[in-house]
Amino acid sequence: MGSKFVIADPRKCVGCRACMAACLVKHYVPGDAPVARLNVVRAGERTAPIVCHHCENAPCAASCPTGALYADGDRVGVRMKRCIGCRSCVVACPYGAVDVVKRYDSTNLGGLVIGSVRNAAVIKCDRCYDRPEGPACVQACTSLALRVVDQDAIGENQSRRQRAIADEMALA
Amino acid sequence: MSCGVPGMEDAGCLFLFGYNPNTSHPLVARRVVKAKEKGAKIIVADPRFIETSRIADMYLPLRNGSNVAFLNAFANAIVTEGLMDEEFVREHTLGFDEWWQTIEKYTPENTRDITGIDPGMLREAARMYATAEPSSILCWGMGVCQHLQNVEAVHTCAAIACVSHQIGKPNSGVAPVRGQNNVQGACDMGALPNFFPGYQKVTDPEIRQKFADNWNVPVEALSGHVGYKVSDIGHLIDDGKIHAFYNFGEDPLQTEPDALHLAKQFERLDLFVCQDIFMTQTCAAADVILPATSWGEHEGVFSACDRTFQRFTAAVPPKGECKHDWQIFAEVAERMGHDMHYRDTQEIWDKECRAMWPGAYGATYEKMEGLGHAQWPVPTLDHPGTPDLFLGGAFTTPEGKAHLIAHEYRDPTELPDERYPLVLCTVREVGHYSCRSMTGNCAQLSNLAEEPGYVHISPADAAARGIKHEDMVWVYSRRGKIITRAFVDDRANEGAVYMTYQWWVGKCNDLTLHHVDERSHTPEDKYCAVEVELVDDQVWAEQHAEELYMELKGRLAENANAQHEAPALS
Amino acid sequence: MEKHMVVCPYCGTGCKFNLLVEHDLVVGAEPLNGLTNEGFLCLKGWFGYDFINDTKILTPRVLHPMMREGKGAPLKRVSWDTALDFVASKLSAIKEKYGPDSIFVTGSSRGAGNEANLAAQRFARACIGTNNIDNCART
Repeated sequence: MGSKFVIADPRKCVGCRACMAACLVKHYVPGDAPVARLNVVRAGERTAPIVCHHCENAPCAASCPTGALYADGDRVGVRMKRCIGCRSCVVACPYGAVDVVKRYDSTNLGGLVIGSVRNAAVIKCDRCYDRPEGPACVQACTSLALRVVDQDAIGENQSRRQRAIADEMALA
Repeated sequence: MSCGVPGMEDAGCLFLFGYNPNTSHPLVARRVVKAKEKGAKIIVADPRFIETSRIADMYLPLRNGSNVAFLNAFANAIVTEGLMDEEFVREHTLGFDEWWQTIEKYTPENTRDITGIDPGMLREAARMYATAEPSSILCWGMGVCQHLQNVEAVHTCAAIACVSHQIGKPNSGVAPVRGQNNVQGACDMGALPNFFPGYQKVTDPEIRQKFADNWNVPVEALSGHVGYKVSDIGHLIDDGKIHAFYNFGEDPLQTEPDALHLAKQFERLDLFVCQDIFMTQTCAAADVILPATSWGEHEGVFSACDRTFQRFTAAVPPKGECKHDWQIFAEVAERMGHDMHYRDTQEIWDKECRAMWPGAYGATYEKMEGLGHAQWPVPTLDHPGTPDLFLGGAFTTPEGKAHLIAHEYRDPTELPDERYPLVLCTVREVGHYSCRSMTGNCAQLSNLAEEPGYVHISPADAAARGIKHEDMVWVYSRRGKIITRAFVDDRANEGAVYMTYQWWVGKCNDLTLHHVDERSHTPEDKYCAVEVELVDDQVWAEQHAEELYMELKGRLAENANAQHEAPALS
Repeated sequence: MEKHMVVCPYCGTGCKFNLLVEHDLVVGAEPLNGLTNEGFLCLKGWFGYDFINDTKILTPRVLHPMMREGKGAPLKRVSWDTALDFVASKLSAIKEKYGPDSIFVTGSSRGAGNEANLAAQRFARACIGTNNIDNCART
């Protein structure tokens, strides 16, 4: 068990923002907010897409008074309609990966839009849980910089680092 | 390019000089990343800390406008550090002694005040470039070409590759990476004032005879002197030399420098024809608009930046009454008494390109079927194509040797002063292309980056002007004043600001200098003097920018709306 | 869904992909294993196709020939014959009066393709009689 999330290798990222556009397209549907859930930060010597880590003890979900954000052990999910726009989650997220934006909900009668209401919408990565091919950003990445990591990958990485440190200590 | 794009990842060193592949060619940037992973050294020379600087082994932040001084000193270091391949220079180049007379004067030490580069670093970079195994590639982009001393810089880049023998072997040489998708193709196909297709000189009588025969016209009908260059069009109209302008698929009122002045010059034309797919700002000024099919609605061949011909097909039928570009030209020609009827693009390709240009004879439609391609020169049907030019030092000059040419450094035309203390350099936005008529009409791309665009300014210059990130600002030069948004960017160097050139409101070409160099007539888009100032009333500024944009959009839509009224019977 | 192979119309890298088409509308892009792109695409390759559908987000497509009745008059839709006759007669008259070198034609370094440029340069050289043809390689 444990959550999976999208992570970027900054050495491979070319900063082209294809991931952001792919994310936008995924959310470019009625009832959703067409805003990229990940943000390619290009500043100084750093370039990397910043995206939700689906933390197990997610501070965003813990701070949400309405259950618009919830952690179920696998991921931090979004129930957009419950969002009241209080921004507690934006403040709580240590990655800066959560945002609150305006969303337009339209009422339709047949094919005709008869009304439109502006609502607040919490915006964060949903890991494309409803997309069979997996996260759209990973698929669109120009340079294989993005991948989904799970507990196995994290564990493997951890034991590799432990071995490396042990080797260093042995040599010292 | 003297090498192919795929081969870039197998070079031992990539030297990126005034070239930012991450915004202009992300899939070339991917090759740079792959090269690095395979162990290549990466050198970046750019005034701005560009994306590739992050993974570079050496980053040289040279001052804006100091290219030729830098390159001369780089060449000097190669020679004085004993990194020159004397045998290659002796066997395969001409003019070394004269070249050295100039280069000798530019040492890394005495150019430091111009370039701002530490001499030790410059010497180390020269060593890294010249000694890399198996090869080095010197890549450049508009950071070389859109300067006053552009041809001069190109000559020196080529000379650097020659004296260090980093040309004439696989995956080596010079890589000026072309910006627009088919700028290589337009040049290959003779859309140049001095060349027929395949770079065959218009001044050569035998060549003229060959084309006259192919086109069934007397040889006297073909002009034997070189034509004008498009960047001079404004002056040529002023001087009464050009009376008719047939503009095919370009938007000069967005992309050319000093656009405000150019619009006035176009008004003086006797005839202004625009053949385009969109109601662009240029179209809205035309006397006649001829609607053409768009990419996706027609087929043909493109030339990639590394000379690779590839075919593309039509995905959807033409819209409205749109015709293919080649059909429109043929129909106007027929009415003017010249028969140039074609069945399809393959007939044009075979008759006008393959039959007339020996180097492209092997590039058949069949060879380019599907994922097939042909990289010129490809002289015979079974030729595999040529990723690397000049192998073994066989250059294409009459003597078969490279000419080493050196130039003295000159300051840019408009230096910053008290009133205009910042250098404006125009750059690219990754999500938008050229005048933005295509990408601006794409939902996701316009969602990611919208008007009024940004002016990137260093934190120090912003702070000195009381400007915060995302503030609305004025940018003005001697030629114009525009409103845009500030992007306080720690990758921008102090003393310079950077703007992308596709915005209508934050239109940097209202500010740029229309000063072209005497050889290539390319405008000096990378250097003019400006000042940036905070707009006092930020709320007004936001509204004003929005209104300006809506007004422009509305005007173009209104112009286009007339097309939905059926024509009067005439 | 139909698939049609294209080369990207944006930068000079020459990436190959399929345009996905439904009911004559382009609805997506699918990277191909081309020489330079090896199955990858960037931002513009993935999402730069919908302008073909005339989205009018920025500027509308021009779908019919248009002309002004005189300088300063508004643009009006005309038939192809009217537009082509006008261009041909006006160009002939200008060539007659000021010579072929008073006419300038551009090539296009964008999505038009090589064949369109071959036709453009032949039009300038053989029909008009000038080498005043250039493309935006300089900008």
